[in-house]
Amino acid sequence: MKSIDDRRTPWQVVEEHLLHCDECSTGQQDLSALARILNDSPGPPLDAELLRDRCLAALTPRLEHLSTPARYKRLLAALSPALLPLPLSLAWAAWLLVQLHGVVSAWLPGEVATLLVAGQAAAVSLLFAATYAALPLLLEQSGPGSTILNSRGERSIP
Amino acid sequence: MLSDEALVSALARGEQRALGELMLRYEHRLPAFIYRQTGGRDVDDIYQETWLRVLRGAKVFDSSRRFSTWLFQLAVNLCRDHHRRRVVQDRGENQARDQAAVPVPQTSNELSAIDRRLDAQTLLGLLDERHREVVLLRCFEDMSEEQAARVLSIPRGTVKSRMHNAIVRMAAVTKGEPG
Repeated sequence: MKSIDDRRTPWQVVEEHLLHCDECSTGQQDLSALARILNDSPGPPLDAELLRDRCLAALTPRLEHLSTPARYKRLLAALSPALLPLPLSLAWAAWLLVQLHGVVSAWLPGEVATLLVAGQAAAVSLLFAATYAALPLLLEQSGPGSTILNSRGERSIP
Repeated sequence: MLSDEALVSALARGEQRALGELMLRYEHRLPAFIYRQTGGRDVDDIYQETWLRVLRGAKVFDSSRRFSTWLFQLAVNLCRDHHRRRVVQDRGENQARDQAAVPVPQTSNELSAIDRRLDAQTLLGLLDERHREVVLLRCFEDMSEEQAARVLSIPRGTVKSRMHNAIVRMAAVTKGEPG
């Protein structure tokens, strides 16, 4: 007898094991009761459909968050206001560095002043790059469905 | 019909239908496995957590592997975590009450006296976690020794010997039962 989805019954698997297991076949045990229990026991009392629907409802926001078009859309929406003032910020930073170079070169030799200002410029560039690179990561963290609660209202296992 | 593995690739692209289809395919098997492994405790949470992990791991899933192996690996690990948490919770708390709620008979006479409705779930309850995992994957999920070994990350020989020990244990308990 096969189960509805064409899988073997638990007892059929046990029988197959008995055929190929030397230890079991020499045991000479009466397994008729075990066979009856394994064949007759009903499945777990679960409403599988309800369980699936509840789970799907809980995971759908997370799934929408994962979808590629939605991700690009969110990224664009977050980057647009951040990119608009970027040219102004860069121009402002460049002007400041030029001013700084002027002040420093009045006190120190030209090469040393350039080196110091170049170091400053590198630090500013790194700061800009890090700020913009953090945007997608922040989006991932703050998106819908990033937190799933279990039935006790606790945050899902990370 | 798309394979499970193709559906995982679609899921990685955020296709909601792929998740629905995968859930439908494992609608009965997965919750039944979790129920039998945990004795019916927190099935909802473990089920949801398993699918959440599928969702999170879909992008890095190696499509040359079988999806069912991965799915049951996730479920087995979550059931083990659940079991560990239960042990910690039970310790010093409501151990006596819990034991009363899920009676674990020791001998066939006790079984006959306590409960004539001896069923597979009670038998599984008599096995320790490691043996129960093997019986569930082999007998109730109809996995081969090879596949069960992959799910549990143990050698095939260990699957075989655990299966043997489990049968011996279950047979000893059912000896007094009418066939």
